[in-house]
Amino acid sequence: MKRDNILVPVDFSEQSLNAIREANELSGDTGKVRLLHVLPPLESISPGVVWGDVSDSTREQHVRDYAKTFLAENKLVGVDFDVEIGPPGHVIADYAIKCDADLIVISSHGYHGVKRMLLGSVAETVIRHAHCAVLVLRRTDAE
Amino acid sequence: MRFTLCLTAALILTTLFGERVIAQDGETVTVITHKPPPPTAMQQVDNAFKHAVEVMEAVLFYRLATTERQYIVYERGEQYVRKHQTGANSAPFRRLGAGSDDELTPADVELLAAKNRLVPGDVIDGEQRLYRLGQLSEADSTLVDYVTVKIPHEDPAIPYGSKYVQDDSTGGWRRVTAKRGLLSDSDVLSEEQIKSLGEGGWLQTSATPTEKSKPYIHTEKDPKSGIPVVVAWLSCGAVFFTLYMGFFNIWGFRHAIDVVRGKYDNPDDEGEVSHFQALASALSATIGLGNIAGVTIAMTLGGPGAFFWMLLCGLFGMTSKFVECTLGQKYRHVKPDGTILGGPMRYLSAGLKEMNLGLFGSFLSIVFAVMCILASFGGGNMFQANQSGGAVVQMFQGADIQRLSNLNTQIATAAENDDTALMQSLQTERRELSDRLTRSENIIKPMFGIVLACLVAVVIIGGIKRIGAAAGKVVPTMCLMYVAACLWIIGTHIAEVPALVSMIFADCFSGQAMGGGLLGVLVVGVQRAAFSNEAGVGSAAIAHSAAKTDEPIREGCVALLGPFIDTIVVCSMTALVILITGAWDNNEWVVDQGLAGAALTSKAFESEISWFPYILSIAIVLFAYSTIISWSYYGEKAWESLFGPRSTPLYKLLAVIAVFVGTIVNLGSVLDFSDMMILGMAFPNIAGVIFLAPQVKRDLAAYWTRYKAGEFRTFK
Repeated sequence: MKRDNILVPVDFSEQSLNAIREANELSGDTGKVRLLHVLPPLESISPGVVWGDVSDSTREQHVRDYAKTFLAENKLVGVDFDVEIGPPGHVIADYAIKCDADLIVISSHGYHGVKRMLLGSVAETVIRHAHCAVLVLRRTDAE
Repeated sequence: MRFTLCLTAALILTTLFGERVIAQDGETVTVITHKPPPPTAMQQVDNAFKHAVEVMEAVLFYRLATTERQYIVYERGEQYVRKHQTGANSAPFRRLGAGSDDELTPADVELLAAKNRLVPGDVIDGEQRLYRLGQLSEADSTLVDYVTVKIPHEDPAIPYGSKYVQDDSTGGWRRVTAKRGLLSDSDVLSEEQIKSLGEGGWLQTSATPTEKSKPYIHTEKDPKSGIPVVVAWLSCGAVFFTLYMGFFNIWGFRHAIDVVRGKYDNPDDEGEVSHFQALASALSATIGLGNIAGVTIAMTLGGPGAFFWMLLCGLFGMTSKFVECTLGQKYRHVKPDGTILGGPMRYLSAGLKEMNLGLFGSFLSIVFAVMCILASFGGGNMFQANQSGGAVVQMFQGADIQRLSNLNTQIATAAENDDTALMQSLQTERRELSDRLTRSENIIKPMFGIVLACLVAVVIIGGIKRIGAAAGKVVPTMCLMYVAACLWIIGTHIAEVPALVSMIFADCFSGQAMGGGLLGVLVVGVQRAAFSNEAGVGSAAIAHSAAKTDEPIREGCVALLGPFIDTIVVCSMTALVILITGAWDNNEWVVDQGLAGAALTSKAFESEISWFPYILSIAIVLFAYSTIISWSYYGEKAWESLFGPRSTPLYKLLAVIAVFVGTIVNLGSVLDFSDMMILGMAFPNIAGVIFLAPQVKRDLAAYWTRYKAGEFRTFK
């Protein structure tokens, strides 16, 4: 079954690159793939916020610039890129509804132990809250 | 004779308790073992930490090259016991080992206590009692109440509890005075006098005597000898970096000022803040109680000479800061959103990995991060909250505390004159006053704790950036006000300054004020300065790595101004005020009223500018608040490097809880433990920085060549 609107959450890691490639293959058209990067909330005590002019909009701009280079470097042209702020699992599921995605392709970091306990799994939250199908790519070199 | 004594003792005890008591050796009759009441839940927490503190102290503050000294303690007392009473306090106490006619009523006990003739009692069931709980023998677990009445020596110069140290230079035993533990010039006992006192049973016996025949001679490490490991580590690090960089702290100073003025600020460079803002951010974490309370402690302990060593520590610490902040900038990680993660956690792992020391680097980095998190909860949050809470209580209760101290003097005078009626009325008054003080303290502290924790929470959890920004910006203003007040005091005493300067230089090598010795005064000065400027600890590298620049050396230059401002400017101001007002040597304040730290600083200012203590209290609270915010950031970054950015909400919650807990508890060991963590960070940090220093030296040489060739673009 061909997918028309695939959402791929990215964190610019090697794993998320795999997810983008997988989505491209599934849709057969980069125009049908949307990338989403979720930023953690602004740290109000960082020097940049207390003293400088760091704000959510400057951060968003930085991420967009960064994504442009990242995508160009990996020869991914024509993909849509967006930025949201908040807890990643829920934000991704909500965004999927908003953009009416029919599939979410997400890579799992495969954390164990303390990190797993503290970070939880974004993929897990997405599966639980998504309205559409979710494809989770296992990481081969899991920590 | 011996038999009769035994019999009498057994008889008394039998009559006392109505049970058979195994009489002990006739000479000593019975020795009461002190059985302090079971610890409260709070004390149990404190005790749990006490052990950890002892271990850390034994490591961090292990004193290298200590010497031992011998001492005796004059301690002769008579013990009076009664069966333990719960609640009531009516039964009389009977003297141990004498006829039953010798007894003390509770009223007598109170009179003796007012005359300061009793060894202080325990806190039993939440109430301070005049008596202690004890046990008559190992076999008998019945609890008794007992009081120990101090017996004065016929020579009034030998009060109960006085300690005499053997002094090789004069050959006698000299009394340790209350002020700085100095040895008295006038109160000297000869070897024969000590012997006769000891054999007369007037001296405290040692559990581990060196000579069996003289069980009254104790041995201890001379508290003024030796140098704590961490102080040696920090100073060796600072001296090494300064020599290795060829005194860059001096010849790079001019350039540092240019950079901080914004001459080279390129708004397009990656980073969060300008050079000046990064410096201000780092300073808001270090300027605070260390400058107000810590320096005063150094002056009262070490005298004028300690001032010199403090300055030197600041001067050499500048290079430690330069090296660590250059590295922080060099190995920082710029995240996709343009924010920065940098600091020792990064350069220890990434920097050492480049040198094929990856495992060692990761180990140091993890140790550093764990210590940094604990330090931020403790020294950064709890300690600051606790001390500023204390300052607030003092601000509200200042007048009453003074009245309480006056009442104590009046009671002692009344007791001396045996004026029971007056004494009792005064004691009632004192009880009411101290009850009222406790009640209001129990309200003020939690209230302050809630307000402070909320103010911290809205900034670090709620993300209200305005408050954090406002607090950050108030610090430089408060700092200027503080310095201005100090300069005013120094100005009004300008005539005394030349004499003071010569005293500082004369004293720094002789350590006269501490009773002689270079090492003692050096340690005092260096320790307090290092506590204040945190050079070598690595904390500031986290803040400095956020600066907008692509030249790590340049940010290092800015960072070296940190210890200069913190120690050479602000700490010096406090030190000079303490020295000029004579507060460090003031018998009434230091010995009689037992003032130390921030309270003594406040007193010194009050004597010159009567209203200044109010400003000072506000300054302390603001400094504490901005330190909490800055240190929470450090802790959060360390947490992020260990557990990832998404888990930081947990850290933030813990940090806010630490603030509240810090204001309400008075857990000495918990606070000591967390405060020590800050210095502990210096171990992994300096250990790694030593390996990375050659890189910094190379980078500096290359940077300086380009700088001299005028290759840098200027923007102002």
